[in-house]
Amino acid sequence: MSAAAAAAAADHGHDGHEEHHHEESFIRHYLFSVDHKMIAKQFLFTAILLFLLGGLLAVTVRWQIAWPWSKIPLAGYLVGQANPDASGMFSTISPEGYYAAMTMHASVMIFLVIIPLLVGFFGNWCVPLMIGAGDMAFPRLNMWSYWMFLTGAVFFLVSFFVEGGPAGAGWTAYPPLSAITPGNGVNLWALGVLFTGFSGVMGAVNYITTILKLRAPGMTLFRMPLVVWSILITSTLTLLATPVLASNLIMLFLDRVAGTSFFVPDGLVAGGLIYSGAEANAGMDAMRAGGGQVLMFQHLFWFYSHPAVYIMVLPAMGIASDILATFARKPIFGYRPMVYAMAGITGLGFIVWGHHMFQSGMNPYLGMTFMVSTMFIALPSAIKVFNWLATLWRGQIHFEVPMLWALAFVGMFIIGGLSGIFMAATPVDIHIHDTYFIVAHIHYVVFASTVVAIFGAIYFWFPKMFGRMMNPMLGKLHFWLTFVFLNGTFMLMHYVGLQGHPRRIAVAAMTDEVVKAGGGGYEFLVQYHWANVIMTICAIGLGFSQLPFFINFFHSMYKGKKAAQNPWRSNSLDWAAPTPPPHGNFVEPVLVYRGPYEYSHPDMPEDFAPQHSPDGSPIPDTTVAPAHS
Amino acid sequence: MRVSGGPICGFTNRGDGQNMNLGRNTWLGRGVGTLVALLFVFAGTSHAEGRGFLLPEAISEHADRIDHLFWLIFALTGIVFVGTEGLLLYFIWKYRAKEGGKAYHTHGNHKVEIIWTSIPALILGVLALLQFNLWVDIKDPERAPLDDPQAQEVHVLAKQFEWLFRYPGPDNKWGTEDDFSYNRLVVPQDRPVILRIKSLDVIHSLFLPELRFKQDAVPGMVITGWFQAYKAGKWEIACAELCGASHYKMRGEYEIVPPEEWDARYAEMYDEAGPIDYDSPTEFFRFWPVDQYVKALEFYEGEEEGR
Repeated sequence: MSAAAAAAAADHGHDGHEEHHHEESFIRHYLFSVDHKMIAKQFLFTAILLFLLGGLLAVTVRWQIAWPWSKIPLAGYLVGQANPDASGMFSTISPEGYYAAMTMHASVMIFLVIIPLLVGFFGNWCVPLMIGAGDMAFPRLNMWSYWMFLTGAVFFLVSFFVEGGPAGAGWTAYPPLSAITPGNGVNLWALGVLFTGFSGVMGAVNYITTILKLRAPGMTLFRMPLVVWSILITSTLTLLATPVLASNLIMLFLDRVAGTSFFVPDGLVAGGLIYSGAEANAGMDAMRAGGGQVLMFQHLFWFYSHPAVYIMVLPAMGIASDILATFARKPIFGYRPMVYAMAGITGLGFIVWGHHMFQSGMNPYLGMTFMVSTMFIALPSAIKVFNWLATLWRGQIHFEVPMLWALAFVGMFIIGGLSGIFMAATPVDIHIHDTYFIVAHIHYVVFASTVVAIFGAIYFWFPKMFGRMMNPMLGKLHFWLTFVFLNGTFMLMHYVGLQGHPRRIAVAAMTDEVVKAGGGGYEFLVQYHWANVIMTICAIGLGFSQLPFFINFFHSMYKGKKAAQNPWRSNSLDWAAPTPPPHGNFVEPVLVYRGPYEYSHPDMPEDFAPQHSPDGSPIPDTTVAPAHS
Repeated sequence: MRVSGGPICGFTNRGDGQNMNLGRNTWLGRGVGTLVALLFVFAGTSHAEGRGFLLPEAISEHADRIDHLFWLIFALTGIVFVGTEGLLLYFIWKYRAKEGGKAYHTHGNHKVEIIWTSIPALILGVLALLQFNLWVDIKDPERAPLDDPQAQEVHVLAKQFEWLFRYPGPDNKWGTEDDFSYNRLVVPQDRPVILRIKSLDVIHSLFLPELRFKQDAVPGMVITGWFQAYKAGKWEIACAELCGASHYKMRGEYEIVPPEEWDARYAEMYDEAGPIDYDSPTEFFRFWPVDQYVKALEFYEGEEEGR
């Protein structure tokens, strides 16, 4: 279906709509679908399956730190067994296996789970529905966006089976380590990231066009839900930053396979081999020209990857804003400041990348500049937190499952945001850089904030997606277990990090057993080993906490209570579509009369006023011809 | 318009007909409170000898100044943390849905937005200004006491997976017969120590926790760092940048020697290591030749005088 037809479906109402109820083949409907809702579901299912993989890798990493060189369940299948005699279920891993698990945990979670869930799944699901469009502006490009993502995922997955295992140079893949590591792991990693990048750019073009051109009549920019704003702003970031990462990855790839020296400096000697440089090689032949710039990779990498952190948090902020307003039955406090704050984060987000490089040998005065911009990027985040709190103030808070997640998002985001100030302070960063403090910070932002908001979004929009409610008891069980265990896992990381626990070490405590097994780790970390053990136990608990979610998700899809069209009594246009929305989304053309957050207006009959209702009174459920799915 | 967050002493609404939500809200409060309390209890109980609360022992002026800034930020963020999380929990409890209740309809308030934008902006701005000097004092090589006759210069070469150190020998001049290399960082107390840091292969990071010293060692670059310890003792060197499969084994040791013992100790180290045999130099001297370093140094110094 073309964009024009999609728009026509929305504009011409019933007559136009009927045309789209022709039978589609299975492949056309489920695999090469151009319907934004099906593509959203494809992203959702792919990403939550990969979420399991990323989680297993995380447990492998934690297990190894708490109980070094012990037998780890399932790890042998993922990153190879150190002891081939061991059974596949429980096996020890090698140091290479540890670093592969660590690298792939981060890469899978960032590139294959969180960004696709937020932008691919969530953007696809919400944007057309929330602005009253029949589909995305470029449905076929949208399909390609999913298939590019899947191609990237396949590169990642294949790398688990190649000689030498997957990439082990960290998700940041700093050269020269990543440039000189043998094997195909890093090559496949680079290709995988490159393809997920293509997917991201295709999505970004599509979202920007859709939001700017396909809004329903009356849907002005400042009547859009904050979710839509967040996707618009995120897409701008993706569009501008991703090509820089792509160029970086291509140069790394060429350094690895074509013998170029973009990131290989003069005089590099590793493992008895002279990699580059004629001056110091004392009669040995250099393998390549040398003269590359090591720090250039970091600059280009963080020019994308710092904005990527905002790509990973802005949509979560949008989700939380919408859920908070709906269940506090109150308009978002300071809607426009919220939009400006997101725009401010984006603008500043492009000039703070250097704060990842304070200790890299970069000119200290450059570091000082980045420190100032980084300090000020805390400001828009603070404004958002204050506005969320003020949204709750004098509200009527209903503790439905999505709301629990949204509230937890606010609470956890405060922690993740405040710990960032320690790192922004360059002198303090000298001590905490590359320690577990950083690991704690990124997990409070990306897991405790973003993933928590994603769960909120899934519980919130599930009824619209599948026409059934998720079980609230299981939902609350999932919430409380996750909430407790995530804090158990990540809170202590701040503490050990401040004590000097470096990140990315396969063995932390230099105990007697470790010394007997070949050494590694540090003596001063022996006294904090209890903390590592607690964190690991909580991480395993966190893994099991997701069981209720998976049971709930797949059970409710078929057996859940039937959902009404607007079960949460929410205002935005997505709830004006039938449940589940048919191809083309809306049965009748929608007109927008007001902003998305007119809750509890004193002149309105109910405590909500749908955006498409002329007088603000709730509109009866739209009837729809038998759904074709 | 009143937006200050409702009646602060408003616990009067708590009737008997409260719904199930109340229990859940206080659990949330207790949960977070307990976690924070636990963190502090653990931090206190593991207060091992020589290590501070939250941070390791500090043994240099730089370290003290960094800790100062740390505790200032800790206090500021602590206040914000308690304030915002407290308000969040209070609102969750106070504004739980009540039968027949209606939320207060407001779209915001211009004045409070300006207040809560400008106050944090001011605090963040001041915080940024406060650190300029400290940061530059530590990191800018031009502020390092390079010309101090007391200064002890040491070359640090990082390679997979060990730390190597090179000393100018008893005459304290580079490129002379008595240069020697050593596998531990041993330096005098109360004297500036100038480190010239380089890596042979991949990026490493020299991390001396008690000195709050961290600097990446980058192949293709010689990076200057410095510190001055006021306490003698032995501690561990960590590598803070992933450098390969044995990164976790890249442990080193550093020792601060009391000033009165330094000369004897330096001579002892020299005897132990022996002078460099320039006909068959070790890896260190082969790939980072001293004369090359001396030439570069003279070049830069000449350039500086020319300016």
